[in-house]
Amino acid sequence: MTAPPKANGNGNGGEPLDLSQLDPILDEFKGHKDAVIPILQRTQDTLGYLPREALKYISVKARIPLNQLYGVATFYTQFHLKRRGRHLVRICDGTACHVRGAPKNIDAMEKGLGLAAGATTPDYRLTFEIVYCLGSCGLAPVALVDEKVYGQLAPQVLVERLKALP
Amino acid sequence: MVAAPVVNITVNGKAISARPGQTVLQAAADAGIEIPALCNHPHLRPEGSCRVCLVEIEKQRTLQPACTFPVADGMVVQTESAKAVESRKMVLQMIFSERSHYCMYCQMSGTAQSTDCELQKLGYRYGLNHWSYGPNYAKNWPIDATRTHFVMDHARCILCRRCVRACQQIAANHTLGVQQRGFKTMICADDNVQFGESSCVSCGTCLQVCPTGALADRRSAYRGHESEVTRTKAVCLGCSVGCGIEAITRDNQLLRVEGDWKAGNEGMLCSVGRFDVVEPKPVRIMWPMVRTDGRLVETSWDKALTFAAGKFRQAHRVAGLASPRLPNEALAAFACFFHEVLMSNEVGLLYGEDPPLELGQPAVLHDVAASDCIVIIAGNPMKQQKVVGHLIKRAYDNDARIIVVNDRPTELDSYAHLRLQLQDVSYHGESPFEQLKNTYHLRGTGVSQLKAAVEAAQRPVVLYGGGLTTTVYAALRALPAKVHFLPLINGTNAAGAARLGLRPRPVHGEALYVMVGDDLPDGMVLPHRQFTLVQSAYRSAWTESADVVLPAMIWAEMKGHMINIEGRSLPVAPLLVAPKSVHACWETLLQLSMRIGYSLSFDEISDISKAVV
Repeated sequence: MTAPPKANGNGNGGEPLDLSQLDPILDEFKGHKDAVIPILQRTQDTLGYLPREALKYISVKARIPLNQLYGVATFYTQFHLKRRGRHLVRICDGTACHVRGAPKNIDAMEKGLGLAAGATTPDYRLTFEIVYCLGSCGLAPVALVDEKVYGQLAPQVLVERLKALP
Repeated sequence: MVAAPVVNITVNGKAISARPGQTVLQAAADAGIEIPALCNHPHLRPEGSCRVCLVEIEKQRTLQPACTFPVADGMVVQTESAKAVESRKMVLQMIFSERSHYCMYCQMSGTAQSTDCELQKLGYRYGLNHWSYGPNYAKNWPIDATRTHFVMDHARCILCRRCVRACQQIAANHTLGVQQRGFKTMICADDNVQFGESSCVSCGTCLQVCPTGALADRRSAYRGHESEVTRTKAVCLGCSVGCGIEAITRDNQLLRVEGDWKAGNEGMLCSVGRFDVVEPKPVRIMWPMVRTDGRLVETSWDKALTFAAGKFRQAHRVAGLASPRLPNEALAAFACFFHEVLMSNEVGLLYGEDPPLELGQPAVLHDVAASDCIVIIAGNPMKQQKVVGHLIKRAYDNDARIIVVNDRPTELDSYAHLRLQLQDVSYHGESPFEQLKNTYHLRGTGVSQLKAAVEAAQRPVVLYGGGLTTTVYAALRALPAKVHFLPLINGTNAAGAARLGLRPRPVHGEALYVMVGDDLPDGMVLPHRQFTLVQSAYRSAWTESADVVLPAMIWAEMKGHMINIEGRSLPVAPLLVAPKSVHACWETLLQLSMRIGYSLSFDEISDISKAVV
């Protein structure tokens, strides 16, 4: 079991959040207490993740119980309660990629960049996730960096490319 | 009149007439056939998550959950067919293996006959004598003991979500929820904070519906199975709502209190009624005490009463104060004692406030929950009549309009669709002219807003506190006839006391008789007099300042009646037997009056009951 996130601290590296950015979203869904998923999606689009303060803010403003927001946000993998990096690295460890050397790439992330699966760099530059099949098995092993697909990827190339990212 | 439509179904070969809209489980239960279920609870909306109630229904491809499957004409159901039983056993095996259920350490555990755990009971019933899949050691299932009164052990949780639904549907508090999914699913509070730090108000409704030992009451755990305790229906004397309770007692001790599902509070209680009553109390007074050389010394009833009677006879005027938590009978005897024996009118209530005047059609508690427009004028039900507060929140969840009229902020403000000041709904006759115009304008908009909202509603209810001006009463009397009114009375039996002419007021006299019952001072100081007699169940600052102290019964030992906010007379039944040396208030008064030299016009509690009820 993962330890519950700390009650204080927004997981935002201490940077203050401007929650008034959410007001247009809440205005748009005013009176729709059942619109939890779209509200959370739009909030995540705006803030990049779902900080606790944002969930509390939505709960008070839209009068949706906090446990409902938290329950939905933890039910779906699309929602993130922790701040994520500017670039998202998804390495496929599906069957085809696995046999073609994905574990080496995952290992390289750990050794070359100090990033374990699911982790974010302290400077919020990179977030690394393992996924199972990106639908490009012919290019195995595959990684998806933001919107760009890298096929037949070697560990050194992966690390170099990621280090070169802004 | 058209006969109610009937749906004919067959369950286990027995023909049953069900009502349309009923579920298979409900129809079977009405006919005396019990279909095992764990997530289902008669007072919660069915959810169908535990799959224990799966039954075989003809013409259905697969087994169906009886708790959510609606009846249809000609339906043929088998609840204990080989297929249903096989599936039920597998479901039970999986539930047992989802967490680490170590029954032998659980307070609910018992034999097939004595177990209080609904899961264990089914384990016995279906002969689960081994683990098919093993207990789940994969996690250290946490125990959350951060709440004062009860503990959550996730290892015993079966994720039936009864607690979550009770928190939503009954208490309307929305603290409990579910986080994650699949194997990671856990019951959690708010955004996964510890229960003790959450928005939980410790109403304990979740505790009452939990089918296993996952939610455990600290005080009653391990102190007796259901088969070893006595359940008595009674009335909570915590506030003027007069909630129905089921008191769980054993060996003349109160172990636990649960809400009575059949009473107006519909199973709900607040933390005062459910938990505070079993919290440790100060030292009980067992014998009369008389102050000798500055110290309170225990003595016999005869000596103490004779001494007090002498003091009362000598006094020019004796004043009396009684707790508004006493039943009608004690209050009536007290008033009678002052009027007939001491010839004194200086008798009133120890604390509290005058109950508001009666207005229009009285509402019952259920009217609040079922209302589509609730007006709360003065008073603070979220603090003073907490169960009413929950009913208001429940109505809010069902889209009732909430109008709060109060000069002070209250916890209900965040629920209010319309927030008004008291002066907005009252007449003002102040000059100068400009100000008059102003207040008339306010009054016009406030009263018309109130009227419009009430008129548009089907089942409007007005809850009103004490201390309202005549002008506000006038505005309330002018509301349409369909409004039902519920007074927010402070003081448990203040309504009963008011009918006996007892009100909270300063009383005068050089001697004072204070009948506090089991109340505690909580910082309140008694007026200083030449002679003070305090009749109290517990030692407190009050008794420490008294010249004579007489023992009194606690609420659970008293017998009589109280009048609640609905204006109903509720019987107060004794749950516990009082210690031999402790007598009912009215008996003490009878003895005291005899020693003063008068006899009271009653000699049995039934005489008083007849006179006051």
